[in-house]
Amino acid sequence: MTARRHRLRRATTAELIKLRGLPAALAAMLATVVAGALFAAADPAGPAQAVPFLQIGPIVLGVLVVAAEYSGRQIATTLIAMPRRLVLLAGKAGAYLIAATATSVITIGGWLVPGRPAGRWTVIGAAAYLVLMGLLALGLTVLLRSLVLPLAGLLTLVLVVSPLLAGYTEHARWLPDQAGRALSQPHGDFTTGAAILLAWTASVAAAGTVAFLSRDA
Amino acid sequence: MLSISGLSKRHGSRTVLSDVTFHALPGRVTGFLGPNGAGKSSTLRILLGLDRATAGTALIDGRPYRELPDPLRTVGSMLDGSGAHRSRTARNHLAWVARAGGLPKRRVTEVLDQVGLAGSGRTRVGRFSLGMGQRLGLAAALLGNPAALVLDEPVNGLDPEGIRWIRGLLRAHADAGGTVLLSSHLMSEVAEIADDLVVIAGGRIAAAGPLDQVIAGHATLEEAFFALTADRSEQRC
Repeated sequence: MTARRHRLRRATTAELIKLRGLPAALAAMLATVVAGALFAAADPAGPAQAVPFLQIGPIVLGVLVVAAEYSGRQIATTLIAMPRRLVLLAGKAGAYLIAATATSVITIGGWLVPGRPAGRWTVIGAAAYLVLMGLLALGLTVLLRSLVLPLAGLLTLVLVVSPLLAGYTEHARWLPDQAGRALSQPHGDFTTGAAILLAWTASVAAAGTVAFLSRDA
Repeated sequence: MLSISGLSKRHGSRTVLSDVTFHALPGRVTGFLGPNGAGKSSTLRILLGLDRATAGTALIDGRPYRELPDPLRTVGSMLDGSGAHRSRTARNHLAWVARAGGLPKRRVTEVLDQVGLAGSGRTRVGRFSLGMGQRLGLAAALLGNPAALVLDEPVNGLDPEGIRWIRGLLRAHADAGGTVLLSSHLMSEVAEIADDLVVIAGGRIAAAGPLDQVIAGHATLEEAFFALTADRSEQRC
């Protein structure tokens, strides 16, 4: 048990060092923070209008931390250094969560500046939404082992398909981003939205984990 | 000791390995020789826990790689070049590998020195030559001071000086009691350095044993190699 916890800590810190060495990941985090500050200055009422754009940052981050393994042959080095795959995956998710939570909290923090009217829960909800969308992206990338497919797929979903569908059918509310949007809206159905988004993230993460544990590197 | 026994691997209907059995012993350099596509990399990938065998076992001191308590301190390995993402620096790459293996940070500087990349630690891997990438891959293999080294085509892309250097390094490793298993499709390379030889062709072991025994009856390793692998290649055509 303690050996396992020890390994998990090692995997998480190794993945954090790995993330720090990836300029594209750092750029995605920085760009998100800067965009957040600009949006907060332009629309201090709340993050709801900005979140659809800000989510690009964590989605890119989630895709990158996994896709970088497969763009060359780093995945072999990774699995040789950390052959216990569940521990490795948990470490990767842990490193992402640390980086994405820090990024999202700073990004959304602009709306918490005293004197601004945004409600505390919409701000916390928006940050949680950003982190979860990136985790969904991470899980999808584990499943697909590609940079372009999950990135293009998810960005098309959240920027094109989802807004279009939302205009046509109320069933669009079952999409992860439409459901999760309630987290950052003052009068959204927080619980239902969170449950639907969590269900999406958990399903995709589970599918990715099963594939990662069973297939050849 | 590295023990491969009865190893088979199929991808769908295609058989990549059938009944591959051999050992790599401590104190000896074992050359794993075969034409491209013969199954060398597939065998090493299974040995290192990257791919799963359809049947058979590949053990390191009696354990599968995925169950080693301290993999990087037990086996150092290099597959196909640097194994690093092109946008990181060499130092960052070795730093995360060291952390993952629970190895002290100072090892990063030590192995960079050892492989002749001391001045290139802050260079991005994408700017490395093939030979430098190969040296970085070797640095990662050496990080944990392992007793066994498993190297897939280690001389690929190295210049003559680099080849001489790696030969010396592997010889010294075996002479100090370590196990060295290296694959190659270059016969002259293997003849220069190996104590034992394993010849694979068409996914089957064609010959295994001490170098002079495998060559016995042939003028050179090259002749022995073609004689041993000829019938296999014909079967495949």
